[in-house]
Amino acid sequence: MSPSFSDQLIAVLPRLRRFARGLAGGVADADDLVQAACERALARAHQFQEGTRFDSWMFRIVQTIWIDQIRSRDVRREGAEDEGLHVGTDESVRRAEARIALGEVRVALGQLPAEQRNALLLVTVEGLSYKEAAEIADVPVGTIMSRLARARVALQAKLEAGGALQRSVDDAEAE
Amino acid sequence: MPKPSDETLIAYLDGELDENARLEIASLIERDPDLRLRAQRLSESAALLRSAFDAVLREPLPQRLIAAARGETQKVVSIAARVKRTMAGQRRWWIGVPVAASVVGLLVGGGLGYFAGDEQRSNAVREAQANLASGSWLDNIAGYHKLFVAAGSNDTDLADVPPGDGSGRKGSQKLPSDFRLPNLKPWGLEFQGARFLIVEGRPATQLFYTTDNKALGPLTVVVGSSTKADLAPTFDHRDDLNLLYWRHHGHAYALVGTANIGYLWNIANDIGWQLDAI
Repeated sequence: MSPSFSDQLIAVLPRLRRFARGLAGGVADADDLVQAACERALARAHQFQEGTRFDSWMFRIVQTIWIDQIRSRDVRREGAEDEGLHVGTDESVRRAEARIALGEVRVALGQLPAEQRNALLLVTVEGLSYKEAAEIADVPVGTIMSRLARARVALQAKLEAGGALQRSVDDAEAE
Repeated sequence: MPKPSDETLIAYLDGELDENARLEIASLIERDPDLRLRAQRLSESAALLRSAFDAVLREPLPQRLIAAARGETQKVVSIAARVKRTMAGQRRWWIGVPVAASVVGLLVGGGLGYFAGDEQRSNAVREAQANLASGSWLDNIAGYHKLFVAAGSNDTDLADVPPGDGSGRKGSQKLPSDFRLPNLKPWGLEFQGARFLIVEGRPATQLFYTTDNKALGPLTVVVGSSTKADLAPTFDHRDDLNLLYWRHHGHAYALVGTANIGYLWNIANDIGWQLDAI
């Protein structure tokens, strides 16, 4: 295996973990997903086309494995577990509220349908363009647009209902 | 002009509209306070979503993922499968244990345990050692601890050295003559046997203890030699297991168990006092 390929893989690991965390919910499940993706990528390294985005290729692999897992388990998480919500040790009230708000975001994300969650993570969290997200999800750009819109509206509604959005705004204004 | 759809408004916020459409939506937002508030709320929820996952980028990468990215876990899977095949039927305590996963967990660590006897197994393990010498020995001992707990203490094949006074002999292996077995009975921990390991390229002994105290749980103590510099007691964890490890005067030590770190710290102090390890 060429060192450069592994180096690229290691470089993109933090983002793969973030993406997988959003998809799978828990830390262990997410890391299992990333590990499986690494192994698959290495096994299929010859399929990667030089000149194309390596991160997009890896996102696609992670997504494919995740979908396979969902199908095989016939499981859709209703609410992400709280395992990875540790964002710091500061015990101040504001910090605690911020932590709660971020936790609510993850829970709200976990309640979205899988395809909406995927679109939201690729575009809003990972910063990919609609076109890039569409290629990874293997759907038309219009489908990504509609999934994103439904996801963003639903997420906002959940956060407003839970108060996370207001706490976040208050926190930002306090700073 | 009618209010834009959610799709259009979000595409505007994501910078996905062409210039004409972007100017048009910007103008609408400028004139319509409700639309402006809606756009603001959508932006805030997106920012909050990004914040919720930012911390992941700052987390240290797990060793197993780095190993996977380097292609090392594939070798481990292959080696583990061979070890599993050759061990089938030879060690009854493996029955019922999630062998494949555990063996992978064991071999990912750099300090590989070894099993006396079978040449084929030895070759496989030596190969794994060579491939994975740079891995984490903590993974290894944590994996063995899980095997020990899963197998149960009544299975005498688990240990290279059976319980008793700690001087038992089995095969060609024995505890080093100068080895002192930590007495953890004051903690309610009974010695159940020992296994020989290689930790950071040096021989080590993994000691298994059990207890009826559910708050403490089974415990592994590792004592080995080390050529590395002293290291202050350091906490770590693997899944639901807590680990405390340190090096002192040419020896490496580690505790593994589900006990909380307070317990581990106090037991470490006790061992340190008994073995002059800290």
